Amino acid sequence: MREAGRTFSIVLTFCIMFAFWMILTAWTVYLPEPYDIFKVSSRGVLAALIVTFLTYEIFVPNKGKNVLLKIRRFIPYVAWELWQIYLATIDVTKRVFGILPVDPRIIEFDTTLRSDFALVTFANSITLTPGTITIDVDPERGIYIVHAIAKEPADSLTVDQTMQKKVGHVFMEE
Amino acid sequence: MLAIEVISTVFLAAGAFFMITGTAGLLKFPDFYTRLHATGKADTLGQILIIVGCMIYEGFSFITIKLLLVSAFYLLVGPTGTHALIRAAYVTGVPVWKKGDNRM
Amino acid sequence: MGPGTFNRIVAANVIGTKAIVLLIIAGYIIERPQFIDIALMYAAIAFIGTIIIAKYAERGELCSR
Repeated sequence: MREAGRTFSIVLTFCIMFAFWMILTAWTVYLPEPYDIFKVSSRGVLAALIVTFLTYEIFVPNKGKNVLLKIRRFIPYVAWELWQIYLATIDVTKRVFGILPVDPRIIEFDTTLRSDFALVTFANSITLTPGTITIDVDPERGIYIVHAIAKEPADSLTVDQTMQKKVGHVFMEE
Repeated sequence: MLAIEVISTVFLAAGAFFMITGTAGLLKFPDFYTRLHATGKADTLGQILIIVGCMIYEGFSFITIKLLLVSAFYLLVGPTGTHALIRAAYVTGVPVWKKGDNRM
Repeated sequence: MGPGTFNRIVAANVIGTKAIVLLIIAGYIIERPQFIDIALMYAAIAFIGTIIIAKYAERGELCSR
């Protein structure tokens, strides 16, 4: 959207930290009825100020082209992700009870994603899908080393490539 | 009030069952990498189901928002810890099990 | 369970995960809702502990200078 200056970073970080403090200490501070709101919130303001001045440089991202469009496409991806977590746990219970076999192997493949946030999201999704865990990521060429537990989950990553298309659609193949 | 109690009991029982199965996999699997598969995935989902069961029982108040924070934090953090462990083991040189070897 | 360092780290991680759930349920039984804060703190500390021990087992030292 635009370049984040120093004042904008400090103000945004302070608002988020203060809202977080208010959520965490709500019932002991705000619920008993007769109070004076400035005297009671002063502890929260002090704590939020200390944390803001320690971490304001790394909290707000400095560059990024269409942040609002990415956030709007991210939410259906999270919903699909929760469904995959449920399938992954059913898969693990089937392998424990002996219905499906255990035959592990290590595979490598590469993608077209290059930015930091896209690589991290894809590695997290591989760990949450049934049957695969990420071992190593090479950020220059986009090569993933993955440990798979049988032949079918390994095929769904290299041959079908459903997850690469979804992540590429969210971040516009960046 | 009976419907809310029945639904939350179902969620709690399912979460406990998935956690027990994940730990049974920890005992049964023959290799370090496959054991990490079992605990990393089954523990994360079992914990989320148990906390969602507690959330349904409570209704809508401040406690529900705090429980939602705990479960969202663990959903982000669990797979990252699993990945850090498996990468440390791979670089150091723990052997990988192929089908037909002895149990390690 | 199996010899070596890494199997023991996995066991410590599993015990930490179950301890978080037990803290929340114990908070419900005793009817003091302040136990949820303790569970959140313990989750953060267990995560950081696991990552530090994994980094030490990989390199042999913590900060290279």
